Amino acid sequence: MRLKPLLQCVACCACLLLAGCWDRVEIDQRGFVVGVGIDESTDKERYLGTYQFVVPGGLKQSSANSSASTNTQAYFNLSTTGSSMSALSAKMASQTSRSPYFEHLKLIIVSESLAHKPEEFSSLMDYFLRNSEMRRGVKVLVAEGKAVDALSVTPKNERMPAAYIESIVNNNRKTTYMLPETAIGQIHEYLMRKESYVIQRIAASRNGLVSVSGCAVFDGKTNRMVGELTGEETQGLNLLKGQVKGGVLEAGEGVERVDFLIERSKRTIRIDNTGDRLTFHIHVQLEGVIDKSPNSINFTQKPAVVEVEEVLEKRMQDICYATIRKLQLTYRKDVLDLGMYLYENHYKLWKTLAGNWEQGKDLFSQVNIQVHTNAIVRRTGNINQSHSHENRADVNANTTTKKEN
Amino acid sequence: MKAFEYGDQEISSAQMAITIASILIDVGILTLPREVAEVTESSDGWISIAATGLIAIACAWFIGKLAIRVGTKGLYDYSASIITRPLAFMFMLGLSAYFLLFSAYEVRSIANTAKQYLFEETPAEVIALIFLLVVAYAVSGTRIGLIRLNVLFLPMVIVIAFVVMGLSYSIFHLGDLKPFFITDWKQITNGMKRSEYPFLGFETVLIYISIMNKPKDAPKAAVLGVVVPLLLYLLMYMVTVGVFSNASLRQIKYPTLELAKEVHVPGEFFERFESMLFTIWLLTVFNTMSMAFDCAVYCLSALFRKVKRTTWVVMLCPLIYLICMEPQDNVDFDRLGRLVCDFANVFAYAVPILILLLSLLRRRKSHAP
Repeated sequence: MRLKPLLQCVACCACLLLAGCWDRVEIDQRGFVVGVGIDESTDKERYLGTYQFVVPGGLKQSSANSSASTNTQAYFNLSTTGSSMSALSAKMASQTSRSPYFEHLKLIIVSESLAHKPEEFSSLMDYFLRNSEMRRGVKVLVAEGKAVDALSVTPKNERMPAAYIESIVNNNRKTTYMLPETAIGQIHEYLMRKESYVIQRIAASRNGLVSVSGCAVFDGKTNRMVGELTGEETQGLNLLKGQVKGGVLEAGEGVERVDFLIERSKRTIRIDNTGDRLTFHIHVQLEGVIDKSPNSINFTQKPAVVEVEEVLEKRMQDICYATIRKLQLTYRKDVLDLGMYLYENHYKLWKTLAGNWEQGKDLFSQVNIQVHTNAIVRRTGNINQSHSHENRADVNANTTTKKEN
Repeated sequence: MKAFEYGDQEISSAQMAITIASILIDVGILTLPREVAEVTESSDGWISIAATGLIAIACAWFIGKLAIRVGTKGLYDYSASIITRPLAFMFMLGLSAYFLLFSAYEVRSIANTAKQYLFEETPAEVIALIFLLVVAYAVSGTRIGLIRLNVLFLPMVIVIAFVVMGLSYSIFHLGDLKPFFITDWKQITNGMKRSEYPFLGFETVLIYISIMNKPKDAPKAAVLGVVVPLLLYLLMYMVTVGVFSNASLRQIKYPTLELAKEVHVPGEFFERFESMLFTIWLLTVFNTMSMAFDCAVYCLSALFRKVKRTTWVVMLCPLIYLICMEPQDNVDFDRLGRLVCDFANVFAYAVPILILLLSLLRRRKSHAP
């Protein structure tokens, strides 16, 4: 009976201790990093890292829409040098009151000059893949010029550059000049398979904005950037890989120009191994709406529609072949994922080729790639023709002569 | 009245099946996709998992048959009647050592994963100790209580696992599953060895048979208890291959947790979905561990009848803690896992099946004139 009060006392004391938590970090002690930019450093240390931290106070003001001075920024950038990413993060903690916290990291931007160095890119990615605060969905971009510049832009409609860039990155539904986003998990797969790959490219422009277009081509073997594709070449790549989600295809010049709003795309590959050279037949099909029509076209006539479709198909072929030429002749890198296609669908054939695909006999650059395109104009918009031509008979005459041809 | 039924000390065959299923589903599923993918190509690891599962189902059937014979006699007395008392003593001792190692492995892996994903600052030793103490508290209660907890937790765990797999639909690439059937049989058997751990635990039917109200159903319940986890493992494996592809799946330490991290739940509230999965996951590991601990206590108290249950729990706790803190790094820890499997192969599968065969032989002899 004596023990009972003592036990009660111990129990009460235990309550005090049990409420403790080792991992408690108050939310106002955390520096939420939303963007990371990595540049080459000029001094002895290897990297110049820029972390973009959120300033919660700045965010609050925008939502309250108060009339008070709005010059509090919602973010601040902090740059420091270090010989590795983790050394850099540790150094960062000594310079800011809130230690870096990466659970909300949205994007990583690596400068071109670093990406060009062999093995550098993969060794940078290691830190971001390993750390348990990071997610495999973090987006990775390569900056034309300096990565810092891209994180220092001043967008008008977003509070933070990182949020602004992140929403651009997802815009590949609206344009064909942009690659789909590249998540770090995806890069991990490429690195493990030693496969060549492409990453979105970002450039800061002078007016305080950025543009994401084109892509950087990486060699899977040496793990370094070997070149880039322009916006148009990226368009070809998107068509060939069947990753077009939307956007506009332009064909023709001046008043004859046709703009085609893509609604749906389909791509299929067949291979033909009968001849002496392996041939890939890539079929690309686009469906969509006419966004801008050439002046003289009357879409109520079937021949006119077919004619426009042919123009579009020709244009698609031109774009695709330009991309293929660049990849096969200039870079000799299979970012079309044809090797992956063979591995997945023709494994036996792939086993015989794998060793010589990008290295050795360099088979990728020698295969024959045939592009077959098909454009279908499903609808033509609100109107048929936007303005009247000199006389109707003329137009009709035009179509009849075309028929004869 | 129905309410009175809950006061009984018996379990139905459905409860038995659920208990076995929830013992099987444990920390193994967190690493299983990687373990198997490491030694197989493309998505072929499912063959390994399915083959191991089929073997497990066969073993479960035999052990269920043996359990019918054990009945209410208790495992020790029954095996003593077949293989003499000293040998039975050794068998029970081995079995309890296996259950202790099994518990130690569970504690350590829950400490490892919790440290990695939930508590970065908290020392792993403390996490392990607290988990162990909670389990010890549960085990000092009644056996029937533990089984009811299984019935309560298992549906939650399965539902959450399916939600995670369903939500990963948008990041799932069918192409990553191709090509099929390119792994040779050597790699497949290697994969089978790797997938043994998550199938451990159905031998507990030998122990819980004594409180089953329809002992005749034991084989059926044991098989059902293996089939449910088997399906879950196969599905989880296919989903993780489709999301991460074989190449990076090999490198991800806890693919199942990483999958929960990857999925996007619409709306902001569940952005950190993995913590929810993890919390639920702790429940099933708690189940597995408490059953294993309970079985160890059962085996030992069958040998030394005078010692009280609570005394056993208090005595075994430090032992489990010491074993679980023994591995210094990942490699040592994997070795402990393999040791558990080896113990299981001998004491949980080989010996009981041997006993079953002997008892069949003996009966035939006694029937002969």
